[in-house]
Amino acid sequence: MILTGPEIIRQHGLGTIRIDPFNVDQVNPNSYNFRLGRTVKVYKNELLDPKVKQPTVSIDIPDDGLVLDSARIYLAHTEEVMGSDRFVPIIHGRSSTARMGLFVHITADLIDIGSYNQWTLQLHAVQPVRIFRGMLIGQVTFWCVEGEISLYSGRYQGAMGPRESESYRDFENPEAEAM
Amino acid sequence: MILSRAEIDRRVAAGSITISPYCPAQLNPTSYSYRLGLEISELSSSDPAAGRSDAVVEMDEAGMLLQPGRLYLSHTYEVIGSRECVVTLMGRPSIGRLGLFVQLSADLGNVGDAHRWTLELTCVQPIVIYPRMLIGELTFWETRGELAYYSGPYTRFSRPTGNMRELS
Repeated sequence: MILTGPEIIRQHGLGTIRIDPFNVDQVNPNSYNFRLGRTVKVYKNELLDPKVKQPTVSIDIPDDGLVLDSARIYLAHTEEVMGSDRFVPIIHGRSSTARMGLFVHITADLIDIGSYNQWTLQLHAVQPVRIFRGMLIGQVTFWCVEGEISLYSGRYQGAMGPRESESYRDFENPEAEAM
Repeated sequence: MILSRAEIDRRVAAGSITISPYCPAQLNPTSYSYRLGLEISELSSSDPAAGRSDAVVEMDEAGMLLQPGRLYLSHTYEVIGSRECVVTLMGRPSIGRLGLFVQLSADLGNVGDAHRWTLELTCVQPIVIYPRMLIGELTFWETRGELAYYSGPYTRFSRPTGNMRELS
C-alpha cells in the first residue's frame, strides 16, 4: 500500500514521516517532490574499484547551474532531511527530469526504514544536462510494511550532503553485517 | 505491503520464500542483500530477431573490468523466488553510488519458481566487479487476488540468459 498525498501530510503532522523543510505545495497525489541540495561530488579516478576507497572532489553548484557530463557519475543530495520509522520511502525521478534524460538514482531506489538523512542522489545524464540547486528534481513515495519493523543503523545514517560509496567495507569482513 | 526483515526471515524459514544460500546477516530493514554470481557474458548484439551467441565466461577472482557503453549479463549467486510474494530486484546503494546499474528499468519479478536471476549490468565509468560480491537487494511484496504462476522460458535458466523472444 502506498500513501496518498493527504496521508503524507497527515503522517508528517503526526511526526511519523520527517521531511525538513516541508512545503505542502510539493505534495503530489501520492508522492512528495524534493529539491536538489547545493553540493555535488565526483570521483577523482575514472576507473572505479569497489574494493578500494575512492577519493572524491566536492563542487558547489554555481548560481548559473552545473552541466553534467554523460561520462561521469555525480553524487548529489536532497535539500531536505527525510526519513520514517513506520513507512518505507522509495525514490523516483520526476517526469520533467526524466524527459531530459537525467537519472536521479542508479539502480538503488529503496531507502531504509529508520534512516534519516539528506539522501544521496546518483545523478547520471544520458546527454549533457544543466542542473540548478534548489530545483525540484525527484519525488519520494511512502509504503506500508508487513511484519515487525527493525530500523536502519547502517553506514550512511545521519549523512548530510552527498556520501560516496563505502562498498570497500563489504570486502573488509565479507561475513559481517551487510548494511 | 513490503515485507520487513523479520517477515522475510520468517517466510524463508516457513519455505514460502526461497533464498539459497541464505545468510541472515545479509538482511536489511526491508530487504535482503544478494551476491553476484560467478558467470558473465557481454552482449554482442541487441537485435531481438538475431539468435544469441554470447559466450558465457567465468569471472576471474581478481576481478573483471566493465566498460561504459556495453551491456553485460550476469546472475545472482543465490537461487531466489517465491510462490506467495512478488520479488523486486535492485542494486545496493553502495553500488549505485559507483555508477553501476544492476538492473535496467525491469526490476519486477514474477510470482513463481525459484532460480538464479539474470542481472543486466551497465556502468557509467569503468568499474571492476568481483564474483560473489554483495551487489544488490531484493524486496518482497504482498499480493492481492488469486495467484497465477509464471511459466515462461526464463525459469528454465539459472545462468546469464539473453533475450528469449525466439522461444516465447
